[in-house]
Amino acid sequence: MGLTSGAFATVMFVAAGASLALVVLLWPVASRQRVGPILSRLAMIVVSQLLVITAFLVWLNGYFDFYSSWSQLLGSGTAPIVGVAKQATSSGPLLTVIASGPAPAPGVASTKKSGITVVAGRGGSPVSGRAADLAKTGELLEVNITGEHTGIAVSDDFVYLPPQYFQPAYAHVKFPTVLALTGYPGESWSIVRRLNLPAVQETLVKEGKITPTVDVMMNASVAMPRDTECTNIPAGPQVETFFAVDVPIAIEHSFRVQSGPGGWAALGYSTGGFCAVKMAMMNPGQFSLAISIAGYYTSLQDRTTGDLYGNNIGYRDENSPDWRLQHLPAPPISVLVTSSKVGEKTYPGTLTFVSLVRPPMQVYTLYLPQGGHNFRTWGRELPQALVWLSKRLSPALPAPAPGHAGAHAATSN
Amino acid sequence: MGLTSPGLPYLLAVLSAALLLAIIVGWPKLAQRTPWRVALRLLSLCVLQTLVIGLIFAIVNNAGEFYSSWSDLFGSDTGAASVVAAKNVPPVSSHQQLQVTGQNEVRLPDGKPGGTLDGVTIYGQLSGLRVPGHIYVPADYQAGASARRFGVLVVISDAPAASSSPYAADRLAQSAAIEMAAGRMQPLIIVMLPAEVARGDSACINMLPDNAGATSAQAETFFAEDVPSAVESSFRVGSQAGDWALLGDVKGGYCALSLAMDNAQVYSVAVVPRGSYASPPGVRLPTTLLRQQADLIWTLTHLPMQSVSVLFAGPGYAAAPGAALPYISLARPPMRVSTTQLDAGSWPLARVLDWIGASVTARSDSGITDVIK
Repeated sequence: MGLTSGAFATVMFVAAGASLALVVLLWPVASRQRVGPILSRLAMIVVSQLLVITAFLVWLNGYFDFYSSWSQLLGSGTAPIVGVAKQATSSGPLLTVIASGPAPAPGVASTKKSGITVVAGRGGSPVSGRAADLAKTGELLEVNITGEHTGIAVSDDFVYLPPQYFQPAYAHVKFPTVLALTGYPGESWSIVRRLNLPAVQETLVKEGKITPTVDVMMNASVAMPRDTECTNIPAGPQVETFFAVDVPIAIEHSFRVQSGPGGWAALGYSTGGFCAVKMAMMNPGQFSLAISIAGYYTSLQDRTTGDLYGNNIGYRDENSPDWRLQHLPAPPISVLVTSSKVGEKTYPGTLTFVSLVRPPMQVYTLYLPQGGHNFRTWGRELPQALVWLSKRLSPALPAPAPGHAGAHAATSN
Repeated sequence: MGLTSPGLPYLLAVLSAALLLAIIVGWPKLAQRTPWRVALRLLSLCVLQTLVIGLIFAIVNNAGEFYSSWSDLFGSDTGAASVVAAKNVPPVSSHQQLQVTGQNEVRLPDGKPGGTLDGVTIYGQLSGLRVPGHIYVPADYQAGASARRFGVLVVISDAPAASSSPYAADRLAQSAAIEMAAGRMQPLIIVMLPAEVARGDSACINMLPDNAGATSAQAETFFAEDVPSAVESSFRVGSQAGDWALLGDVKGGYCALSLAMDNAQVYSVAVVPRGSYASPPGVRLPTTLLRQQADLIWTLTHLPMQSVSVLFAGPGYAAAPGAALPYISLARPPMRVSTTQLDAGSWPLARVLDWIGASVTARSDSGITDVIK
């Protein structure tokens, strides 16, 4: 039974409730004041308590999308990650669409993958729903991506195609792309469901505040439960190359999107924010813009990352945005960093990073007065961040409607 | 009491323990089967469960700082702010990436013009390295006002420009001019750079900072990102991997092969002398893992085959693969490996240049078919 399956949660809730009822019913059995009954009172309470706590944790995990499977939860921080990169020589498709459906409408709480139907037996070609409908809703695709250069293969990630992608006026327009990355531990579905990236964008596009983009929404860790921090791991998976080279290649081959740094931005929260800034700094030829929502700017090493740096402090330094700004030429990119003055432990580190930025790199900040490290806070920051982004990304603009000039002349007469 | 105050978990722990004790001690008092007692049993248990779950939540939240306050938890925070530019620094006009320092005509043996050999300095935007070199511009490039984009060959060699080495800028330019004039070689822009672009880095790798955190030369960044960017900013050249090739001599061989294998999205062709290229020449990497990563045979056996064409040519006139044998036996499509010998006579690299011209301009896509929706 899957960790995040509804059936498992139901079983756990029923068990917790049943244990409570049982203790209440069996209460008189342990009412004599002897050692045995007293111990059995304790045992009953403890067992029931454990069941209730488990049910609570299952609910919490479902709410925050920390771990999406048992293997992710139970693997330890030192789990080997070499198996991630397949020594594949087969020339399979770089991107496979697993499921597709209309994108969740703004304001509608989307439940887990509701409305996305599994597409069986499709090869690499994206699925076409009814274009007339998709021109209103946009489309959400669940995809598997295989890295041409790194061999890293990931699943359960999502691509959002905005309604405009399917509209005749945009039929020959190439869209800019936002690569959005989760925190750690995380699940790419959170970007759809908790951060509401596609829905917020759709609302802002309708209000005329931003132009549409294609979103590629991915888990920042390619080897859960290991926290890979978008790092090319010496003698291990080349995660940075995967996100900065392989993913753009796969997307550019599969969708009508722009190539080149003007049409690509990286965005992420928490660990994903670190990834977005680091990758844009190391690959300004691919990403000209980065948004770090509550990110950090030095390379981590802890229980969940294990050693990602070939046992070498120098290589770890090279993966640190702060160190790079102090020791290498600044890259020609623009970065927006967000944090909260109260409630975010990333705030001091963000101030340090901002103070280190030098031209030609540009940095912008968005500091809320208060807010914790959670989706509600990030949701308050996202609309302004997207407006900032839209002013800088090479836009997708509709072709002028045929006869538009004539119509205009007629009205002005 | 604040949600993140360190006292909250202690308070909840004390309350939980006290209630647990009270329930155990007072158990017999609730054992009677009256509705009131049964309801009290349920109530006491529920309160205990809530206290313990609250305790767990408070501990987890304090560790992860998910919610910063009660108002944050219950969603009543609405404070807003706006995006501001952190510094009012005007964007500097970026450095000239490629400067021509001198220009020489290349003459064919019969005295006709055969393109130019420019002295250049490439300023690496990302690496910060400033490297002098040469660029050969074929006669066709100047003649054709067409929009055609040219392929590029980057030569990495330690031979001084005017030396007698076939990899030296003067001789290589002339050899290429002869081949192009005879129609045996597709015209290419040829960029000639030293193998040691920074002191102490003779392997074109990103040198690691030492414990003191000293600045370290980013030679791989220079070759993989700065050189293409600089050449593309100044010349009418292609920007696909299929347009870019590398040629290394004995000193630049590791550079050329490792750059192609690590940056197959930039370079699709590498021609190097036969060798095993198991470690970067002249550089001692500090740890086993870093040495493994730098061993090109290890890369070949542990990463997917890259879409690159490798030609082992030289040193000398033997055709047997020698030290390059592992590459021939291990390579699988889309990687292609071949060997050849250098020619005797005045122009040892002539056939190699012809092969590079054909490989660069007659590129085939890496078997990926575009599926544009």
